[in-house]
Amino acid sequence: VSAALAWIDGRAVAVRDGETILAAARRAGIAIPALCAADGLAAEGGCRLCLVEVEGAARPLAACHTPIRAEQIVRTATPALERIRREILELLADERPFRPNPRGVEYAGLLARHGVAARPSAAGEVDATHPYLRFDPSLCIVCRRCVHACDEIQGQSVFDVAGRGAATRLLYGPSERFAESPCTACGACGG
Amino acid sequence: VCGEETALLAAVEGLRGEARPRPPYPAARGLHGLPTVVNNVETLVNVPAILEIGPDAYAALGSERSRGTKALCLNRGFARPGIVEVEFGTPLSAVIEAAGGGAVPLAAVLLGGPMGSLLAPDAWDVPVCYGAMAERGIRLGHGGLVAIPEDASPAFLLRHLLAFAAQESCGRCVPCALGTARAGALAREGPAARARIARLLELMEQASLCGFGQLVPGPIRELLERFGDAALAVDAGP
Repeated sequence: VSAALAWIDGRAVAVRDGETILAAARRAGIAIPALCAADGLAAEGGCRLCLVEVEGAARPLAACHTPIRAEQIVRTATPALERIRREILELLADERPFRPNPRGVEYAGLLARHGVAARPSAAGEVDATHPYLRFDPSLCIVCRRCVHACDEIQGQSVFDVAGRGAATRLLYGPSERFAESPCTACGACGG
Repeated sequence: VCGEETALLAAVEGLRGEARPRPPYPAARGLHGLPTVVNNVETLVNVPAILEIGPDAYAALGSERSRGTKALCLNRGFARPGIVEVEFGTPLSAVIEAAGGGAVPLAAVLLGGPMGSLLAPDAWDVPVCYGAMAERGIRLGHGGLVAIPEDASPAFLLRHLLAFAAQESCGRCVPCALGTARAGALAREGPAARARIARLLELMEQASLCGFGQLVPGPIRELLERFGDAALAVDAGP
């Protein structure tokens, strides 16, 4: 019995039950950009960089939370999608802080690849109350990977977000000091 | 944004009222991870009538593609504001006439709220019917009707719609959370910002996580088309 196949950028990919388009593409070595999605974490669906075109769909679909299906024909890098990605990155670069840093190479790389110039932000007030972890809000683009990692891997739920719309920001612990949060310094959040 | 079904479910669970990715759809995994049917109160309110007069009599009401009746809510800008129930297929103009028209002469009506459609008088002949309206790109939405007086400032209205969108955006997805705020700022920069606003509206429509960000651009774009540079006047007036 031959396995069910989907087609991503013209390449045949075996369909696995319950897998998303993003996971299937990555397994096939096709890179789809994503800032909020991370392997092993629940889909956030927030950055919208992983939008792909699926034949028959009325609008682009987010690869991170759209299941892959047999016979599906997916395109991951059409000019329309690349334009959407550039515009999303332009918004992020304009509205969220950026400074070159060792933890931000993925984001910096995406900006560079899409020709988006980031305006470096000033250094913010760093929370250094914890012996192992530091939080610098002037580096946070509110991707929320840390929220998912803490909830889903460690079950500590240290992180959340506060505010709405463009004012949404990362929140942790009752006092926003790591030393006083339930953080166990597991490092799952990337800290 | 808590009128959006996934945000509503999150709020019912005691969580932040934020839209969730779909799929999974609430019918598969909704409240507390269980299959959930989400119906509008306005949908359910039809059930007693169907039970009372019978399904055939109910289905005989309305138009071919939209059976039954629709509740419309006219705001205080009409001579006789209030809630009316009309058979599907009734022309919008008849609804407006029955309400005595605008309290003052009207430039347009905003149908279906901030995610609905801005309709100038030349479009009021459209029947209240999902199919007929969809053919003309009109969104009936929640069926509210807001009167826009002739002397209203289009620029004020544009800023109001964008401020509403920015305020209601849950903050989860980039196109809606950052796009509404950016478009609101651009709306104060005068007509030169038109192309950039248009690009942002398109991005929100194409890329937003939920129906809120996807639908909010509709009336804003119609306002820009209908009123041109007046909608982007630097001095928005009262």
